[in-house]
Amino acid sequence: MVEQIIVKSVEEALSRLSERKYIIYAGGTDLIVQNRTVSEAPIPFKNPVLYCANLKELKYVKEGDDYLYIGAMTTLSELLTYESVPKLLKEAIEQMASPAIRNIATLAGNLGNASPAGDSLVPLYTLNALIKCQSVKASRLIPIQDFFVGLKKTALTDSEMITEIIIPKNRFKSTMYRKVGTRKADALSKVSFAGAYSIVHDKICDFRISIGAVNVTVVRRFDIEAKLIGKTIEQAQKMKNQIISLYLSSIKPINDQRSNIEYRTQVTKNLISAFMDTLD
Amino acid sequence: MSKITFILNGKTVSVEGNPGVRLLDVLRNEFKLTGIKEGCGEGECGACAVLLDHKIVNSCSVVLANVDGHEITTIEGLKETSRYQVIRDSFGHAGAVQCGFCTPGMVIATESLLYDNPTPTEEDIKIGMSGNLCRCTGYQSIIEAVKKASEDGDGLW
Repeated sequence: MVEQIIVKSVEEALSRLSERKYIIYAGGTDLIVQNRTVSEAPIPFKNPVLYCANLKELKYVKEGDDYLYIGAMTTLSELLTYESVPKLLKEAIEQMASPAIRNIATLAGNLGNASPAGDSLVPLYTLNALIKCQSVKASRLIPIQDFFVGLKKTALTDSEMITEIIIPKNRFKSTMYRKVGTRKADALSKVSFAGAYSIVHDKICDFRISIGAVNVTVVRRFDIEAKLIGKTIEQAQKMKNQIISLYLSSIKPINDQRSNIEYRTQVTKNLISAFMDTLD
Repeated sequence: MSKITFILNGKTVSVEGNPGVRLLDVLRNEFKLTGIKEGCGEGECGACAVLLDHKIVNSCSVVLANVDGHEITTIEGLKETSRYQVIRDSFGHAGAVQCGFCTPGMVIATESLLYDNPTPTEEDIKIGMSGNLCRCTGYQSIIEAVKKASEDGDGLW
């Protein structure tokens, strides 16, 4: 049996992480499924485990003037109870798994698991979230698109843990979240989408699209978004096909048990088109 | 080895051993609380549902370590409450039980929902019960049962 420790404070967790590699265990709803073998057997973890779910000091949502601060061990259900949590993120959380899973699962866990189909990642990309990675020595604030470095790979080092998720306060004219899955509850996404835009003096001043489950990490293309800045809605609508084909060139969907390349490509097209139709 | 202490059906209990075991196995094997069932084993069916601090969780997806210092209520513990009587009667009245395998989980989901929201809409009920699968009833009778429990249990939640 590997070493398993229920940590009592963030300080203790960081000090242990400075000594060796651990699996950081939050709600564990993904880790338990990934590591279990047969019924009734203890979970045979391959690395030592730090159980962190009960760290009260990481259970909070705090509102500042420009940012929202979410403690890493705040559950998804708890997030839904805060008025300050952005609607785009709440819409994604409401469609994640089921009440029983949302009552223990965390945002930090969804980030750490780094699945390309992680549903909370998609709105967090659109919201320009920052991930706070803390070690004994220092803390780094990593923009979400730099946090994910490859398929199921993050920028988190063995001595760091996610302690906070920071979301800039955005005021969008409108946002759109869509999840396409097989069942309403407990489904893993075939494709997920989070869009947001703002308009000033009849011109688009902010335009953001993030697409999940169509590449090794969530797709967010600042260069494509920039093409629409300063355009009127009419001009943007005329560019729709061009914009869609640019996005299609940056997705790399796969065939798996949940969906296939053709379906994921078509749905991506439809979702971008539907979002651009909401420009108003 | 760790010592994990929690409240189980109103009584403080301690378990010494591997903290990386499933709450489901501890409840069934150590405490002989066999009302909870293992269905899918991966958090998708709700047959193993229990209440953690009065909120529904899947005991197959919770490790013992994470229960330390918390309160767990199983169907056996809930059975002692007047709210259970209302849920039992409403499930019986609506014909919401056939083979019975999912029923303990459905009752836990009902209690969790009504504790949080005593007057749910039909949509709230569907969301509240969305993590619990039933292969017999087709769900309509379960939705009716939850509605009836909410009406009959007026003031209990």
